[in-house]
Amino acid sequence: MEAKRTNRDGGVSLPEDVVFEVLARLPAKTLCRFRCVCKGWCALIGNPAFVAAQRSRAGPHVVGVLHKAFPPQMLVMDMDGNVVRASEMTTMCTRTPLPTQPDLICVDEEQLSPQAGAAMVIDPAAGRAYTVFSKSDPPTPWGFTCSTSFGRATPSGAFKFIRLQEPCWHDDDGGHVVCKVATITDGGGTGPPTWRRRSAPPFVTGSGRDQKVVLNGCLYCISCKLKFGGDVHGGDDTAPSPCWNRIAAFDLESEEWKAEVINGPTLMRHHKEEELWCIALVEIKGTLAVVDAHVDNQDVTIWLLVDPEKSVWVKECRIQ
Amino acid sequence: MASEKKVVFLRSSDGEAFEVSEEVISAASVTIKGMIDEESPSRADTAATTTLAIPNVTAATLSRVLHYVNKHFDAAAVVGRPDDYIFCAPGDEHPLARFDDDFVDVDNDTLIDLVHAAEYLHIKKLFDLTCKAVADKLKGRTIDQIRETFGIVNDYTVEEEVEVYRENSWAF
Repeated sequence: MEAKRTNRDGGVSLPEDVVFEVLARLPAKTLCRFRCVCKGWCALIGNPAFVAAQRSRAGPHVVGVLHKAFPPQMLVMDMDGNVVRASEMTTMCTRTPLPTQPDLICVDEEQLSPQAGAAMVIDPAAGRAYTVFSKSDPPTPWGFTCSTSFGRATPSGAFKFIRLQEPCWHDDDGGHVVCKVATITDGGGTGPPTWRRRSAPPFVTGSGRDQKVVLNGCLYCISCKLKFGGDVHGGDDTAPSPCWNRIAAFDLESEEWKAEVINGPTLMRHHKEEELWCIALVEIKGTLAVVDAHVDNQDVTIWLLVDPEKSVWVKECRIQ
Repeated sequence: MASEKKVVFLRSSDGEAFEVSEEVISAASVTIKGMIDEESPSRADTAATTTLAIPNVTAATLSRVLHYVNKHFDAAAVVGRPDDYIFCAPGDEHPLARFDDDFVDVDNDTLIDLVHAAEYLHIKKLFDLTCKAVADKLKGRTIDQIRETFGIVNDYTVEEEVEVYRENSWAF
């Protein structure tokens, strides 16, 4: 006869391997609650191997900031609408989640916030959030902007951050750009990661996060800075700089900028500095896309890159 | 081909033998397929049916496992066509969803035994089903109920417990 696996309290004892397999099928929020059961469960739930197993089963997450609460809360939800993680925002500034893989979420401070330059990572599976770049790190010098991108290198699958500190003034060759890379190990880490300096991009790529996207292990950055140096001609005309509307690609695996630069699609003409327009790089169905928006005219064009080698773009749609 | 279907016998830890189609059990269990493959050279020249000892699984559990296996892996039961082709319209539940729900609607002891049997016999579908069922049982329970159900001793000190509750308070 099979021995009943009972203990002195009369409960069924769960062998450790079964506990692992069972808990790995639970959502992150339930797991955080179950950390309170006993030290063994708490250690298991924080274990990198467990986190990896749970993550591979968990669905994608969405992140949002709830401003109704005070202090504002940042919520990480699964696709069923269950909150899997909530964290209080310590400052009044806005934290913006970066478009990224579903299993780790990186949030970056807005440029104008008091915390400018800070970034943190949220790991919904491990129920943990940690700072990867804080205000106390060497501050961004005056006249520069700083932005964080986050993505996964292929084929190694390592999570990496790319931090670009770029001058606000026009700079064709990118010589003043500081490019740094850091890797996050799978189990996450407790402290801030180590940053490695990498070569500068071929040109200044664009200050905002909208001009950068990580796709298939590559960070793509579009340069959409106009050269506002036309005062010789009366200041009326703004001639685009030579790198205007070009896209540089950084390989997250080799940590090098690719020699080939992709030329952007034919954009709507933007003559005047005062006109509100915006160029954004996005990923649409696994393809690199450019969104060319003219705010005043409410005119948006979306281009898809069909051939990166020959810089061939196809107009996907135009919304007027 | 009208050849008679090959069968094997599985002997449980408590000595009861169960008959099952070789084809079906080979498709279901990686472990048993391995055993049969090892046996086959010697079987070719004897007419005797093979009996395989399954020392880790009791008769009660083994009969449940075979019930599941015959339902999920017997191609003949679905007239030679893949089950999802026949029964599944887009948006439909899996045709065996109801069967699966009933199958895991058992007490904790039985369920844990099934998890172990599925693991030992290497039947992935059954392992996933039973682990998920245990997880679902746990999901809605309070910390105290979990400890009670599985006889887990709370080894936190009062201070540690306050701290771990505080850290994870948002999840309650």
